[in-house]
Amino acid sequence: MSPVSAAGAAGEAKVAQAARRPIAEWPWRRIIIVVAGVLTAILVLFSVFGWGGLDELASRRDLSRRLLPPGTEGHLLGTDGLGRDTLMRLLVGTRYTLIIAALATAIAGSIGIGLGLLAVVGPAWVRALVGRLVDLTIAFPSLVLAIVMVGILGRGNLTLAIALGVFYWPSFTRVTLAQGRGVEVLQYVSAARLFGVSRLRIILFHILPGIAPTLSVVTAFQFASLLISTAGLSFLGLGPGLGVPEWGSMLAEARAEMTRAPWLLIGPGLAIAWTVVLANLIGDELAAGTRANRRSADS
Amino acid sequence: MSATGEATLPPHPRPKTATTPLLEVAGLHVTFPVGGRRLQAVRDVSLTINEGAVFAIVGESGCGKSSLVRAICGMYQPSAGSVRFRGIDVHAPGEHWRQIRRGVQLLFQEPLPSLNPRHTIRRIFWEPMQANRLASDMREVEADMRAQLASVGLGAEALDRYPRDFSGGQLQRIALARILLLKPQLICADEPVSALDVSVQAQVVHLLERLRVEQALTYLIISHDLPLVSRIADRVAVMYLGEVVETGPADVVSREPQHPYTAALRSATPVARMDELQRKRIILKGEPPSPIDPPSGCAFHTRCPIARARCRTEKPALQPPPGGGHRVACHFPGEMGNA
Repeated sequence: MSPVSAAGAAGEAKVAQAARRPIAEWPWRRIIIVVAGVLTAILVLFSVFGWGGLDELASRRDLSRRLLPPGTEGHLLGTDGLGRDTLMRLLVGTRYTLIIAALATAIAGSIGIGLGLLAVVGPAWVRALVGRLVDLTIAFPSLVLAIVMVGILGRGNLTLAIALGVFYWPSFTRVTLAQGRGVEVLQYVSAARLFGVSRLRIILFHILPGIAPTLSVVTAFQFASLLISTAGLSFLGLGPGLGVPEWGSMLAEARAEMTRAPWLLIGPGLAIAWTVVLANLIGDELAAGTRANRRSADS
Repeated sequence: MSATGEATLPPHPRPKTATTPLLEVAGLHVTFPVGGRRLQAVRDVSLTINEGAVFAIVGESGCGKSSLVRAICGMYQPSAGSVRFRGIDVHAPGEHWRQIRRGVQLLFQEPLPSLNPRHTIRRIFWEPMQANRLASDMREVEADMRAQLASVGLGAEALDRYPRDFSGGQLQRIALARILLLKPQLICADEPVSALDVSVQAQVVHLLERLRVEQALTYLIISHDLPLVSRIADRVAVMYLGEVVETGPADVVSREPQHPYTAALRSATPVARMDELQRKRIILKGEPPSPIDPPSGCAFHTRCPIARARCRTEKPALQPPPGGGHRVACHFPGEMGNA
């Protein structure tokens, strides 16, 4: 049942009024993003917590059925050079790519927001120190540093997440510092300080809630860029390792068969592009929501 | 007269002020660094506030009255001098810090920005109580919160609302209730009614008066409204460019100002009585000088209608005039007083 007929059946004046709104004026953008986000989330949850047979299916080799094109019976997206099912590998890959990127975002966020808050409430020299640290980190190409770090620590899921996280925190710090300073000078924060409320409580209950909307936007964008970096490093062979169906390493494997089975590139390529675009769209929507909130709060 | 004039308020019964000094400010200086130079917001201010009194500080914008009060409340660190509350230095770090701070509370000029818009009134009330360890659980003080809300004329249902649900006058009463829950002895109020609608001002002034009697409070009130001050305050200090230029009993100072600046302030307020219309208006020339680079001699000489050569070089001391009376920092006290 379409939303329009559902609303008509409900028959209430208010709902009917909403339904009369021309379809073109519906917040289609938001609807599509929410639907896409929910579907992707279900897919991720399925690959992480779902069916245990998934791994087995993804790693089952059959050299007699290698490099099958998409649409072959039993293999919706075809098979790779070792006869493994591409769809199953992509699903399992969700677990690696998304989780490494999420972990890296969490590490970058913790470092970045933590340092930012320290600079907001700390004395001037702490602020200066954090500022220099941000400049210094931004001055180096983070991807190259991450490669060096993986080279030193050795390959692995966690290593990759840490290597990316410790070099991608500056944008979190910059936003926390700029926005947090804006909240920190507000009178209710001065009042709390005057009442003897501890610094930790001021941060947790006054400053963080004030900047949380903006931080969620930054988190979405950072996740998107860290996902690209995760896949990129895996593509270069610095990911979880051989045989693991991480999207970046799947791309690298597909490259070897490019002339014989070019469709192998499409699956992981689309998966990466889709997730990155989705994360960016969610970030855009969050930003629009934050701006709207601020406007209504000002008026 | 302002909105808080005779017509709307019964005359204030002057309380018998006890002689114990509750607050002693001695030689207080507050300076702020401004681009390598020093802005002298408060210069050598001394005052004594007795228990149960209403002390007012009057002056135009930028004269340092807010800086003075914020230093008294412990918000700013003074660069010299001391603030003693019940004989204990407010700015000395130590054991009694929290207790002293609790005794002196600041009421902000505008209530709305001083209340977190994301918190309910209950949470707004609870935060300072928790920080001062008045109770370990919010439920213990629920009755206190309700009683304090009632004392400022609001119902208990306000506890679950947010600041945006209230009007300016209601918010100022909520801000006041939040402070009163800490059982302070001294309340510093920074222009407590000037941000409110004229019709609400009298209401809040009334409330302040009633609470002072009921809860044995002492007030330090900042204002630029001399008529209001003469009604509600016992003593007044007039500030100009960070210094006290005249101080004494509020009614005497506003009736017979000795300093030309006080006289100008008085003449600037609108009058309600026909006989006062005859009074000459004193219009001050120019802007107040910069507190970064205060003038030599008497700081007021650049704008003073009766300034003479001596005023440019010699700084007048804050002392009673030769004929007796309250203290004033002027070489020619009273010359303009009854203009």
